[in-house]
Amino acid sequence: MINELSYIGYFFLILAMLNSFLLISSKTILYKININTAGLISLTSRMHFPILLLSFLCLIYSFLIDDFSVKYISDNSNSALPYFYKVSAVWAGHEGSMLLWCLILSFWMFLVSKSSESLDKEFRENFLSIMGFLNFGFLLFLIFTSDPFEKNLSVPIDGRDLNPLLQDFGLIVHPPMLYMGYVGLSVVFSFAVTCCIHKEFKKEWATWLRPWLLLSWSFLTLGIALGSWWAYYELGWGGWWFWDPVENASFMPWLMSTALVHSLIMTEQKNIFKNWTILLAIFAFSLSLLGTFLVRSGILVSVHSFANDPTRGIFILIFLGLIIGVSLLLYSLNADKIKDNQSFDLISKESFFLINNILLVTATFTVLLGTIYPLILDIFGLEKISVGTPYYNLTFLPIMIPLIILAGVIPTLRFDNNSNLKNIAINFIFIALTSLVFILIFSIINLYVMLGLFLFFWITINLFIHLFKNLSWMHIGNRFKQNIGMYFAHIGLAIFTLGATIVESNKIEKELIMKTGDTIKVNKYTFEFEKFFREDGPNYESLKGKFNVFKDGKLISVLNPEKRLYFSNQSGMPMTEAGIQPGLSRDLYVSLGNLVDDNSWSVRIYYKPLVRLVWLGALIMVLGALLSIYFQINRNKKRRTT
Amino acid sequence: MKKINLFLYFICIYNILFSHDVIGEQKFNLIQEQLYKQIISETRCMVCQNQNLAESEAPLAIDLKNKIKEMVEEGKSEKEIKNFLVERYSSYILYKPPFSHQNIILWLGPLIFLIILSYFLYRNIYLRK
Repeated sequence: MINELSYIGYFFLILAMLNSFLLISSKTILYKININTAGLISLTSRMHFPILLLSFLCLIYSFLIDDFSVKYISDNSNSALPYFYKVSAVWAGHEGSMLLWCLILSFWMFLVSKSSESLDKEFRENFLSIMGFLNFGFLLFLIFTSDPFEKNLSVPIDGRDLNPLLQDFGLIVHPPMLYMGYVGLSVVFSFAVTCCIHKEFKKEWATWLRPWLLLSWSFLTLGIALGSWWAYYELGWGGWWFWDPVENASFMPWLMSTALVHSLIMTEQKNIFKNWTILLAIFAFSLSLLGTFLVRSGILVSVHSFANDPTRGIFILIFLGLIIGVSLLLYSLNADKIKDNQSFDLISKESFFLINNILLVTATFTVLLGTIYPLILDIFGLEKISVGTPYYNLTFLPIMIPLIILAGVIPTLRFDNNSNLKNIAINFIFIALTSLVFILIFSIINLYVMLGLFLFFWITINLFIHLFKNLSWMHIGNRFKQNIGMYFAHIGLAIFTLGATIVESNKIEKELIMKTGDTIKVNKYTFEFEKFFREDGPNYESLKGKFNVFKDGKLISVLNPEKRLYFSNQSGMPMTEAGIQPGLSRDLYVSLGNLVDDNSWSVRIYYKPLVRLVWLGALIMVLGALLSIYFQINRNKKRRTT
Repeated sequence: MKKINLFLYFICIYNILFSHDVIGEQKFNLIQEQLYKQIISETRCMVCQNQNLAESEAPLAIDLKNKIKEMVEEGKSEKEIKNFLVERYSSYILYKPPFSHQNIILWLGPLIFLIILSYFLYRNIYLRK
């Protein structure tokens, strides 16, 4: 009886595929034979999500009851696995995460279908049809190359277990958030393609699109930040960004959609950059598809490619080529007809927005180049190379610095005139002096820290001056509501910049051998390795170290780094769990390496100043985007009622 | 205690099979330590998936780290050490690819792209009013 649930899940997948086929045929085939397609499009675009959700729930249920007749479950789960990991194991491997991808895609389509009534009828139908096409394509991919409900030939007694690296809270939250962001860009993409078909990009359409873009941008930011945080505590190396190709795969759409957020502002407020906004929207989603291709095809060998299969790679590559090719073709055919109605001066706020876009797109290109260049060399059989942090430090960071400077100055400019250039100079002197005072007080000698500090003050002080100057005549009026999200997002960027530069310049990393009873002083903290002891978990054996941390002779923390050996993976490598004492001003981080002899270990002890600001900054950016969405939706409602 | 021993046994087996040595205590001066840390953070662990030597605890990485430490202590320069590594493992080991014919697009690509994009946007947004 219970086994049948996986068949039912599969049945729902097929049903969803037929449903999405019906959706795309409404606009292409059915309407020619005089069928009223308007109702059909609304219905099928809304039905898609519930159908896939049922299929998804079937898979979750099959995981919970340990239905090892399903290959995906026996590969990724185990009867001893705690129930919450059984649920998150659903998206721990390739098949399940593609199902999650499809589910989220259908969810976005559902939301769009529900809240796009205000758009022109014809436009809306085309828009939903394109989303339907994406849904259909990914479902084909899922069913024919990555069926999560595939049966085992013989039912194993127990499952092979979830990869120990993934048995963590991070797995529960990171992939869904990231996918929400990745896939959310499909809304923006479909919208842009529809604009190409209609040869038009109206101002009110841009207004409608903005919250959607900001929402997927928020999820993407959150997903990346969660991934960074997860890598930080789980891998045991204490880093928060590795320029790993898979990280880059998520970072490229982020950079591109950040550019898009800014160009869409111009389209919405000034009726310019229309063409360019459409192109950016196409690229942003294309990059998230490219990321999927890179990760899923197994072309990259990295920590993340847990399931690889070349036939899948080819399918995605063709699908990717089709989507990008067709959308770019439509763009190049129709872009000429979508004209900007306004013009602007070479030295103006609009130009600065354009520079922001140029820098962000160049940054995206740099990451793309660094990610695929080694692959290209490999394909042509040339010498293998590695592209890592030192490359990006030399190429990517120089693009970021002017960008961050712009983030502090563009918001203070006004559209109408440029008289505030003098104010910028005054602010600059004031901010430089403030930074200098801090540099002297803390006797900073590191150039990067000086730069980081200056950039932090540059954004925050500029924005605060602007805020207080305007408060008097704005009295929390519309301008304030319109800008508050931006203030938060840019200050989030400032906080991130401060954290990133300081932790990278001032971190202290010790790698040494410690016997029980040994102490070591790192910065102001004395770490004492008291003992190690056995403390098993539900499905693993664990050895924990006990480190007492003293500051000025007082015990301030006890850290328990662990080495874990999972039952299912006895012959494998022991997993590392770091012991971390988090703090806003610094993290203390201890991880165990190898056992050297009876009672001494190789130990890594890290002191990470301000590392929390890296993620805090990202969270504040997200908060800013959410505030923006909130106020914009409110505004739209008011506009509609009046 | 018996339980601990069993687990230690597993970890030791792992170590005996795969590892011979661990990074020794650091005896060199601050500048040397900095150089050492810089080099191991810019070189790839050849047996790992995508990790630098600093992060890696693979036996080969530990051997290599000890070798690099030795060379730093002998007073070898960054260039000499990197040349040694490249000779032994090819430039795949460097996370900063050499500036060669083959990598010219990699290094100059961003700059060329910046120029082309700026020109493209200038032409399409300013000049086409």
